[in-house]
Amino acid sequence: MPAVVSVTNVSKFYGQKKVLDGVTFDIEKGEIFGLLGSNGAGKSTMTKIILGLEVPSDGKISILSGNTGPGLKSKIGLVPQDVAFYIDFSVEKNLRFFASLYGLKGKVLTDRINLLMKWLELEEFRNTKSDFLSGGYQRLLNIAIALIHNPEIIFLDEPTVGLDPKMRQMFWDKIRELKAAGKTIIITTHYMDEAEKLCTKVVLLKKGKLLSMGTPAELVRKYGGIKVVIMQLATPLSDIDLASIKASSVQMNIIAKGNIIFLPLEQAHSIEKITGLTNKIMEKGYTILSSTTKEPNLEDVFLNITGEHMKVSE
Amino acid sequence: MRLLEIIWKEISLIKAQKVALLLIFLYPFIAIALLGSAFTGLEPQKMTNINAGVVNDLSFDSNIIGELSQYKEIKLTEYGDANKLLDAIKKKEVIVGVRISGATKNDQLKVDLYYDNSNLMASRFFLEIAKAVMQRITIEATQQKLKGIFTTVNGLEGTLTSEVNNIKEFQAKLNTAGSKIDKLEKDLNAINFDEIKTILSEQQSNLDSLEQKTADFKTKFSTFKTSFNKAKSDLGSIEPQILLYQSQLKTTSTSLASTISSLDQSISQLESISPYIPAEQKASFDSSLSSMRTQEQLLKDWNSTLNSSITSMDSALTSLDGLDTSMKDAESMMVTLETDEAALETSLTSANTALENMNSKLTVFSESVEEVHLLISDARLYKEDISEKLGTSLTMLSSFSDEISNISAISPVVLAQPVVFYENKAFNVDPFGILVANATVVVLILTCMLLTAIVVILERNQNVTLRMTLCTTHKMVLLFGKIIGQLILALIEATIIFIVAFTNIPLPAPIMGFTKIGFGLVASFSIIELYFAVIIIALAFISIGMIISLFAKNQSTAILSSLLLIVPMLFLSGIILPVEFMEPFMRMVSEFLPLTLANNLLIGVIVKGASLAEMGVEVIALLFITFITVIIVLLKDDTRE
Repeated sequence: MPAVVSVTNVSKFYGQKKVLDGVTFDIEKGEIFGLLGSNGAGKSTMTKIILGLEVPSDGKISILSGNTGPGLKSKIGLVPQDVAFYIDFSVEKNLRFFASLYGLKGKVLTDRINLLMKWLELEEFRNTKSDFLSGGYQRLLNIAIALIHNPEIIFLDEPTVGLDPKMRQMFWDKIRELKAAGKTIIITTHYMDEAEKLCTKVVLLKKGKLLSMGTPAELVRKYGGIKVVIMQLATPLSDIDLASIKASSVQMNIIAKGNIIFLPLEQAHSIEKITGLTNKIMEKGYTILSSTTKEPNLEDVFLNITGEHMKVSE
Repeated sequence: MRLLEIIWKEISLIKAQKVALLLIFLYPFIAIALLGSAFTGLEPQKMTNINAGVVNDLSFDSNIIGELSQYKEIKLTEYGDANKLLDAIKKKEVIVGVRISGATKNDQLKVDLYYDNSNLMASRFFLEIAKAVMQRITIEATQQKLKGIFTTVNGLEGTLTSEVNNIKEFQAKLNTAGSKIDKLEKDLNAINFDEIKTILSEQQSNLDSLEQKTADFKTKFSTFKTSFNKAKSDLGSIEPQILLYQSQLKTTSTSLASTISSLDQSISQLESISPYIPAEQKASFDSSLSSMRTQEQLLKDWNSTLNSSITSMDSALTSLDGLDTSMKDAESMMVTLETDEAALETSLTSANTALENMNSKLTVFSESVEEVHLLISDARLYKEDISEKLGTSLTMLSSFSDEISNISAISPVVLAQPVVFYENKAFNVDPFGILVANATVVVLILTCMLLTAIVVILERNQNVTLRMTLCTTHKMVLLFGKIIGQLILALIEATIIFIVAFTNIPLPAPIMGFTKIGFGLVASFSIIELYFAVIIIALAFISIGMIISLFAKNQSTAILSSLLLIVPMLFLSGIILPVEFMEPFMRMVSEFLPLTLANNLLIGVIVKGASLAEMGVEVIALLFITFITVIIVLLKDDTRE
């Protein structure tokens, strides 16, 4: 796949402060690319540089094979984290105005507005003053405006912050549909689960440095750590019983905290370990109230790589 | 407690807005510092160098111009005629103009005052100053006239005193002349004319006798003198001479006889030797011997003649004896003459004495006559002097009369009100037109500058600016779109003001005391020029609003920043307080302020009916502001193309 965005050894200084330090990555066409990192990691600066709002202090940016000027602008759409439209204008008026800024007019403009309204379920709010829309629909209008000129590359800055789960799911669906339509999507997000579910590739940034890059599965597999089985007993496991279980033939790094038992599992022989542990507990006369499994995810990856916690979905 | 908490909350909110806080604290300083420094000259008595023009149509009282120029309040420029003065007022070269155009029938000075009525307050103010200065001058002129009268009266007193002194001097001179005449009279009385007549008669007689005797004496004396002198001469010289000659002749005859004898002997000796003389020398020798015999004969002849003369001289001596007798007769005649002469001398002495006496009397008389002459001369000088003094007195009295006439000719009306003022406006306009211009620029600056800044900040806060930055429309198009949008609003606002100002629609019935809609201002200007002026002004204000928005982070800061510019400009532009009251430096600063330029431009078009070409300075300055600010806004845009 050709790279639509190519970032090569990009650094950025604000005075003496280095906010990006030799970052290099490629974004291929049709990807949902996640820029991940905590506050101050350099996500916003990276985004601004790619958008052309900032100039890198060092390194090179190539977008759509070096395309620049209005031609490039027509191929890039931005969905800012905060709504970016005239709150006193109606939905349609906002769309029409921003469409006009991209040179759309006549039937093309009308068709495009109708298409986006329908796709983003904004039709019933066509003449509603934008200020009167709910937060979720204001976000949808935000997306509609960013897509009004049918860009090839779409930037989404924290697209689901503050949305309820239903709306968030809807957003994810729309983003996937855009990917399906062949758009390249670049997302900056704090939400690791969102990145894991949506992104086809992510980069992890910390203090301006690129720590890791790959698909979420690769990163989880590589840096996510092991699976953990968590069992809740009716009564706390005694130290004698715990020692007995640990001494059993099946090697287990079991940890007990009151009536909760944690069993880390390697990928190999996991079923044997779980059935063996269950048998031993029941043999000792304990009752298992529930059992769950904690799979490794991007949050774990982030934690393991950076030693910092990231947000999980609200 | 709750109230305190609310108060503290309010203060905390303000504290949180750092820029706003800074501006809030900056406002009082700017207000007092700007106004304080700009308007310290508000006291009229401290005002100096008010530009005033003057036209002097009179020649008789040109001194007023000189007096006007002495006043530090006024900086005077002289113009040839009223039209040039009006042009200067229209070009703001001068604020007020004074034309001294003539005099009333009461001799009051007619003064035409011209003023720039395109400024509501300042012109009236400076008009009053000009009036006050003119009144001061004319009152001073009146005072000068009164002083002149008093000086004249004082002068007359001096003149009269001088005249009294002159009269006293005349009297003294007359007294002197009287004394001299008395002395002259006395001297004249001293002369005895009878005595002089007697003396003169006697003298006449003596002189007659003297004349007779003198004639006799002269005759006798002449005769005597001739005879006597001749005789005495003959007698005294001839006889001794003859005797001397006789003696000498006798001696000579003797010598001669001796010489002849010697010579005879010599000849004889020579004759004796003659036979011995050689033949060759014999001839020469005989010749010399012959010559010697001739000479001897000649000498014998001379000696004979001498002896004859000696005999004649004896005869002459005898005649001289007779002559001596005649001389004795002459001496007798001389005695007689001496006696006559003595008598004559006595007569002459008597005559001389009488004449001396008479001469003495005549000398006294002559001196008296001389004194009379001097007296007459003095009298003539006195007459001339007195005549001259009387002429001077006459002149003085004439002058006194003229002065009295002049004083009586001065009208009491002139002294009470020496000047009559006639006010002339530079522009034929309703003062309401000035208010329309002022209102328009104030509305334009508030709306254009403030609204533009607010809208730009609003867009930025709503992230719309970010979207615009990313869109394909060129930033210049975006900028001009924004400017034109604001401009349309400005034109609508200006139009509303103009409609209200220029319409005059009567109401069928009074509503809240109003009988018409609009103020009915008469438009004496081009509507197109007016709207072009509004566009130029609005563009400048809009572009300044954009500059503000570049630096303001939020709306409150934008509003405060705008007001930070607008409020001082309102005070310094001449809309609220006249710029003419400002300090010169602040006045110069004021001229460059956009609001001042805008106000001047609109007043120029609406009030003065000027074209944009005539208001070229303001137009160019405002367009320059627009151009520069637009360039700054475009350069500040860091969008990557």
